[in-house]
Amino acid sequence: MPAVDSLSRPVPATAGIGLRAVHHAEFLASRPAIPWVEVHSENFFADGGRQLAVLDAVRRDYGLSLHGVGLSLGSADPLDQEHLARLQRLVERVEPALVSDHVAWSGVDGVCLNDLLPVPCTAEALVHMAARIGQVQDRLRRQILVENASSYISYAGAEMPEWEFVATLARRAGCLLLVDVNNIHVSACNHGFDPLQYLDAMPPDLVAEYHIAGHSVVEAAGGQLLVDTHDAPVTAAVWTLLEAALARIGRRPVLLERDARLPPLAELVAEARIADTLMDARHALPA
Amino acid sequence: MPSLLELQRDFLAVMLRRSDPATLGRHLQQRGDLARRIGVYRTNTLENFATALGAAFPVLRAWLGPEDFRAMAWSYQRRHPSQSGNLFNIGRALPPFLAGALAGTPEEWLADLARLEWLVQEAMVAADDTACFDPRALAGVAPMHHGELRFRLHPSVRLATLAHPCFAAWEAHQAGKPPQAPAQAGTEQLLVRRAGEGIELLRLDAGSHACLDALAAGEPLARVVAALEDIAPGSDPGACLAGWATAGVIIGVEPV
Repeated sequence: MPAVDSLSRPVPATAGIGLRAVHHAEFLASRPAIPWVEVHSENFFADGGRQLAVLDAVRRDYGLSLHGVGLSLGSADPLDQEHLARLQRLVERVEPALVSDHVAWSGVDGVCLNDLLPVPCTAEALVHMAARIGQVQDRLRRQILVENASSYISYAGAEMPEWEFVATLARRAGCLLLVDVNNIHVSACNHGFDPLQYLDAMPPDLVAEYHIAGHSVVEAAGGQLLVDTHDAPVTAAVWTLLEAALARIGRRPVLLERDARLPPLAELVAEARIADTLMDARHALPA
Repeated sequence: MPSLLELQRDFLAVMLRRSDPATLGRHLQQRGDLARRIGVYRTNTLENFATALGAAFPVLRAWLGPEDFRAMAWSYQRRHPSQSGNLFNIGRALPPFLAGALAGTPEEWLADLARLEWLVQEAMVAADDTACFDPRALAGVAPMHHGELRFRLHPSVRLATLAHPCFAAWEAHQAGKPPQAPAQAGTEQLLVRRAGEGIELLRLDAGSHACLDALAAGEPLARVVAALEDIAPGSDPGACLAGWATAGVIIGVEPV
């Protein structure tokens, strides 16, 4: 397990949930017995107000992970310094155990599409992204995690498979990896690669977190397409792939992401705890 | 393989419908179901934008209905695409966009509704400040300098002068009722601020609005009093200021 800066409550190698606004009040009222949560960083870029007050209250009692969707680490544009400054301010305020974003880009020429778009797996993109991750880490004065994104297209000019790109990127940038097991499954089905080959390429010493989530299946004349919608329970195939990751890489914090059609909080926590059951069956938590 | 910049420019142009999908397709391995795969990204781009915009303008969304709101959002996105990884900012240009698009139509009041909702958004994320105005802060100020005093408002305070009254539509939506178009024309002056865990809207009379507007602009007390006198001759500025201090709208005074 790699060392992660932890200035507040730690994020242990157990299950956590993505905490969304619809559950804020219930979470604070019911205080579910789950050790940590992850929130989307950009939702807390405010100067003040209720949302930030909720986060302040949550981080006093729970391990906290800040998961960003807006740094656009793979963009050809310069890094958005205002965005980075707001992230830095938030990190300094809540002192999260983990800070992450994606191996993706969101916009170019000053226009942002606010989606996680696939980076071409080329030497040019590798050098470019590693440098940008370095800038972010220098600014935040800590290691960040980068997450493999799901994808629906693949570039004709790719110079290496995605798993090689992601692993090499982490080594070059000196960052950690957030392995999204659902994203591997989605992309593997959409592009026809072996998800186990992807997992085998992930350097265990750099993997600091897993994500699991549900997805949608779109049927059409061209065949099935899996879409990373985070709007459904985790599928059996993704649980199986998580077990494979645990066997190959080891026990890590596992985050259940759910962003749409959110179930009641207790149901979400219960689903996340399936990951604990899987981990406990394989690896006892260190005392 | 094009450069990273060239590839991303082609991708962006297709997402924003400035180019045909083939512009991107020439860089991809996929051939047969290109439109469907690109369509996932296009849908994400549009839906993420419309969903975030709808969260910032819930009353406008309720008035238009989800389908018309989504269509309006996409039209707005083509003119004012997001410029940040933080979707909060996308709503800033919606009020002037609607003012231009709806001018002279029966729905032009929706631009004022959007202005009001954007001020609500600003109030929700404004800085915290728990200071309370303490009258003792004035004790050491010589009467001859009272006119130079500058009062500080809570950071969440926003003032609006709307050409179409929208308070009722906003209030109805808070109560879970469908918003109604203004029953009659006429200017409405409002104060928007964060109060407790929510947002408070207050209708202002002309004098109070003039007073608060001058305070918000950082004017010294002498000019605040003059502004009040211009709009509402004979008003009691002391009572006006004391009322807003008691309500927590005025939270401090800058040293002279």
